[in-house]
Amino acid sequence: MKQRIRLPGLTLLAAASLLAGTVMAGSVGEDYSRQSFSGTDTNGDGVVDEAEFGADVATAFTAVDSNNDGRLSADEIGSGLGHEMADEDSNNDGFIDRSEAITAKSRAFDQADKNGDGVLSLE
Amino acid sequence: MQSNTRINVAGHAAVLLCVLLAAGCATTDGQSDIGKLGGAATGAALGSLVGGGRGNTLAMIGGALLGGYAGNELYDKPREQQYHTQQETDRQKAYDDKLAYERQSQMQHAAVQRELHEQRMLDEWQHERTGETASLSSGEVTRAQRLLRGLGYYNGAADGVVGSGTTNAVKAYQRANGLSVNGLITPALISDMQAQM
Repeated sequence: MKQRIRLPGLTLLAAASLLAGTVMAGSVGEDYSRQSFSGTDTNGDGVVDEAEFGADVATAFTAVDSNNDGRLSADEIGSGLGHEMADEDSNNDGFIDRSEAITAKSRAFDQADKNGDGVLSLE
Repeated sequence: MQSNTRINVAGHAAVLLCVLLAAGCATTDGQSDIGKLGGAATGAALGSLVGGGRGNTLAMIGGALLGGYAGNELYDKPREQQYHTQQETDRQKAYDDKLAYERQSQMQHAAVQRELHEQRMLDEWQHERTGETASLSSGEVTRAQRLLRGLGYYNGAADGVVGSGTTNAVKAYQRANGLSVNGLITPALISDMQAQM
């Protein structure tokens, strides 16, 4: 049984791609949601598993980390995604480091995977 | 009479030689002053003729100096300018080449760094999700790829880099063997595959 994901849940999933700056901040439309989902579902099997999600997070993080210092600053993230900083900067040092991003995205994956089958799908 | 002519000719030759040497010494950049020397020689000959054909030393020296000056202005100076322009162009090209090389090196270095960071983050993600020890070496990934190939799940290169082909092969293996399908290479997965070989 595939897990249905409504837009609020997918917003969490899309956050990784949002970090890559591929969409305007503020709202995630359905078209974008599907596009983002397809981009993350690299093998095209209709579901996003942990590996695909993790790869998306890692790709997005390193793409945004323009100075390659292993952490994202507010400047790198951009003002439109300030909520990412607020949500993920758990030690409030003004940066999102890799472990903070992974913890936040791992939590997001689990929240979206409501039936706990380890994969996410979009309907 | 013949003796006087010889002395005159020798004297003129000596004067001409001095003028030519003086002109040669004026060279500033090591380039041959062909125009100056040729002009001096021609000027000296003309001066000698104008001054009476034989023996007018002052006319010869004057002609040589004027000819040298004219040769320098008409031939040597443009050549020198061309030489300096070429040198400047070569210097600029060498500088541009060096900049392009450095820029390319920096870009390659940044790309490698990004790849390493991405791989490290994937390892950390894997550790977060599975509790498995992070940072499989590329040798272990290569081993997993060879095993996957040997078992018929992978036909890509065993290059130690986890790409979508490797991940899909791992998933196919996990699916076929009733394992949790997450596409992640772990030491446990490698042991499992080895047991099937």
